[in-house]
Amino acid sequence: MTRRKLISAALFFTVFGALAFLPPLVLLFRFDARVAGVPIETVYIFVLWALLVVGTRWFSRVLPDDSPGDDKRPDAGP
Amino acid sequence: MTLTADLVIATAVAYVGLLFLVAFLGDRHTRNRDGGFLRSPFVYTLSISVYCTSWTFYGAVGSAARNGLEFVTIYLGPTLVFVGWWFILRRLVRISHDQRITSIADLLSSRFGKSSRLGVLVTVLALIAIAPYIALQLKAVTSSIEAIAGSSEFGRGSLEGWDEVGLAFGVAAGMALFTILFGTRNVDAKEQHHGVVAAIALEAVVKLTALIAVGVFVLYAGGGLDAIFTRAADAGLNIHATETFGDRWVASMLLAAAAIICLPRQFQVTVVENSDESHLRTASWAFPAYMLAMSLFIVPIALYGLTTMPAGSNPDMFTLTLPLAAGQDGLALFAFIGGFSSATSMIILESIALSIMVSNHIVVPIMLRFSADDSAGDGLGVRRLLLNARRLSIILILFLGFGYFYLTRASDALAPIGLISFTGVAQFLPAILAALFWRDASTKAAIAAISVGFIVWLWSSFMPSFASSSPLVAQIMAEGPFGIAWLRPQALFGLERLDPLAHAVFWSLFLNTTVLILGSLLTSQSALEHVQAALFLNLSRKGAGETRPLRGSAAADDLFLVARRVLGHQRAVDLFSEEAKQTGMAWSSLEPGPAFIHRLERELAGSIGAASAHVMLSKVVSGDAVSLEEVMQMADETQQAIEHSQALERASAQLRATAEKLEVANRQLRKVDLQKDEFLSQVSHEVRTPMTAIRAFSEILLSESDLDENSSRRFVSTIHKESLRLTSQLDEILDLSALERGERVWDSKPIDAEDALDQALRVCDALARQNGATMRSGPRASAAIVSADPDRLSQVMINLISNAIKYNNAPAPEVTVRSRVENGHYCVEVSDNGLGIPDDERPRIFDKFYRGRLGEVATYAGAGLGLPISREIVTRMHGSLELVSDAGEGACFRVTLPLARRS
Repeated sequence: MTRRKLISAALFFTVFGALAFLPPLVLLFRFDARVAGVPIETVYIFVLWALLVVGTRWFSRVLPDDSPGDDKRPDAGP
Repeated sequence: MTLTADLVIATAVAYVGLLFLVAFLGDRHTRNRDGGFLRSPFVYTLSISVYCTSWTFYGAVGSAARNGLEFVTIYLGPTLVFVGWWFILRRLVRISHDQRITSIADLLSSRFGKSSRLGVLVTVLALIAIAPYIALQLKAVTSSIEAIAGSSEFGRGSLEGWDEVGLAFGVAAGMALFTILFGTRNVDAKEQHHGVVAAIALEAVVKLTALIAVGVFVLYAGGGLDAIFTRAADAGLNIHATETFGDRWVASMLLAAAAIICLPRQFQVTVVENSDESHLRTASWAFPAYMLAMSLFIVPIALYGLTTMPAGSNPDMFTLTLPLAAGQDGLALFAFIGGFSSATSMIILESIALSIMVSNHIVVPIMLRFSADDSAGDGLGVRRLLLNARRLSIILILFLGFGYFYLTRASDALAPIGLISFTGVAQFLPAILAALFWRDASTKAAIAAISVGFIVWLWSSFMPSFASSSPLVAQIMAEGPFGIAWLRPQALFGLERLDPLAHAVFWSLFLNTTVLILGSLLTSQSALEHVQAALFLNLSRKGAGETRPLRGSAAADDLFLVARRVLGHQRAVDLFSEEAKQTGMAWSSLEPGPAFIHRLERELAGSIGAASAHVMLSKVVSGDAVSLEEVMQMADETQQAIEHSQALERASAQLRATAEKLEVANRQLRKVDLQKDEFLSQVSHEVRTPMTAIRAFSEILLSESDLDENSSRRFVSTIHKESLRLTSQLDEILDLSALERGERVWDSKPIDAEDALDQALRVCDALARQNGATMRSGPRASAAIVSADPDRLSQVMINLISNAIKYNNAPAPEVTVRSRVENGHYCVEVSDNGLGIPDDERPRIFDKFYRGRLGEVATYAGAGLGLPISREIVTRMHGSLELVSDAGEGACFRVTLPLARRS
């Protein structure tokens, strides 16, 4: 992936992470089921949370080094 | 071991002693070496975890017991901000590094034109907004001590006779003392506190392990997750999130996301204390992971507490009371220390951050206003004043927190109090985002927006929390002020369907943002704002310090005094020696340039904030700094205008030139058109004469049948003669027009012009004899090589000679031909002894169809094209044909041709 695509990917990762925690997506998991005794929506939220941590860890390693010295960044954020 | 209040207080004091030791060692460690372990990304991450206060440690369990899953939103919001660290936090950290930002008030004031007013506003509002949050910590610590004290018969120990308020006051006083000792030990007022950060990191580890220990204990005691959830379901508790994912869910997630950026202490640890931008990379996943670990056991603890503890027990204290109830005194003490950790770390950092804001944005500006310039005598003065101001503001902050606690002590839940604070500080979010991403946001708009947001917050979120203690507030809540229903705090403008939290969040942030946007669109930025906005937005593109907000000159002595007042003697000396070394000048003759002044301003800003540093230096630096900036900005804007007008000017000049050319061309066209008409009419006229003759004679021949042979022969010969003349005329016309259009091409080659002249003389010999004219030969050139077409040259000579013969009415006609070479030119003169050409005809003899008076009567009149044709030919041979004789003597024409160059 190019540097620009990586940055875009990081942005969409964040945006979709936020959407997944918000209604209406989160409402998809609000039904009466339990995983090892734990209600499904609780499991969903914690699993999603853990996935976000893992994904961010990946991004934190691959996102370009961008120290002020060698900065020619054309993109400034969302 | 039986837990008593005395024991836990003693433990707490001992723990504080430990923290103090850690902070001391941490400071010494960073001073001796270059940071080492204390500057690792994990210590940085742990210090960010100061976000998890006793609200998390105690309040989250209470929140989970009351509202189920909702508590996670408080951690999901920050998680999302850290997942998207690249877009907001990274920029914040970089800008703050480059601009030496010391606090959130400094950030906003710096971006919005170093506005002192905005700094004061943000500081005051932050103080008010944080008060409930401090109260929450006091309440949590007090409740936890009470919980332990109430757990056994002799638990109160020496607390006997203290009520809750007294205890809270004691806690507040203790915290104030502790924070003052902690945060304002340093004589150096630089805003990074490595020792404190080390202590905070330790506390982060303690509170996490304590909470996990309680969580593991609960899982063990409750028989595993399945058992705990099943028992809770059997007890009639709603373990499913039936009502959770509504407006409150969204609102509190948004609030938490805003809080992780806007809370003064979070800004302090995440941005100000950040020593290396790359640490943010690690924190981006490690901090969410920390929060995930903190949240993991909250629901089981809450459900286990709800099912096992007696009804009516405070769910906020389950973390502490569950181990106590199970007789696990050691674990309970650990849990208490965990909760105490989370409260103290929050209070320490929050009050340090706020005290920096108070001293930089309120105390220093006041001091600057009331102190004369020359009172800078004592080097330690400013810094001592700063530290004292910070100490006082720490006391003030804790006092405000205590006051809020006192007024709202009747309500029991922790989490709602925290959310009030969150809504308050979230009012900074629109301005901060505008500072980072919107160049046109203006100071006036930011001040208005934050004020509006805060007023709405005060009305709809802060004030309602006093409803339990104030009948007046309760009445306003129910009926609105003076009975105005649409101003009811929790149903503004009649919006009743929303949850009170979502209601306050919506109205405050909506109006805040609207005012910011509309205000920025309607107002204009000052010069300094313009410069700062550009600096904030372009920071990632070019290095900092491109623009120099303060310019002009200043005496080194004055600058040194200012620097010494703020930075202390040693650092001021260091700074100035370095500059002296760089410029290679002696200390005494140092002339601080704009770059040095700018650097000094940044150094000062690192201690007292951008606005105050700017004001302070402006007093010393002579030359109108602002007018220079205005010049810069105006230059910026006028440059574009100038370029535009230059482009316009160029374009219009081109247009003018084109129009002129067009006009010239048009004039020429009209002239040529006129000439063409004239030419045509002349041609028609010329052609008409022979045609008329031919027609007349042929008509006679046709109608008169009885013409004698002689006459008819004469008529036919006339017709023939006229048609010959017609043909020759047409030939000449064609020839001339072709010549004029440049269509006739001939070979110019080096020839001897004398040959052409001889040939012409031979041709004209017969004509001369016929007219009885004498040909005289004057002096001749020996040989003259010219570049010409021989036939055409002969044609010119023949024309001239025959004219001289034909139009010579002298009794004894004579024609003289001379030639010579002079000045690189070959000249031929043909002269006659006739009457010559009268004055009035001279200018016209080269006109087409002009024959002169003699020509009219001559028997063999030509078309009047001979001379024009000849002149055209000679011109094309780069020569000239002119009439050289004076009036009154015989005509003399001269042909001049340049000699061909021998190569």
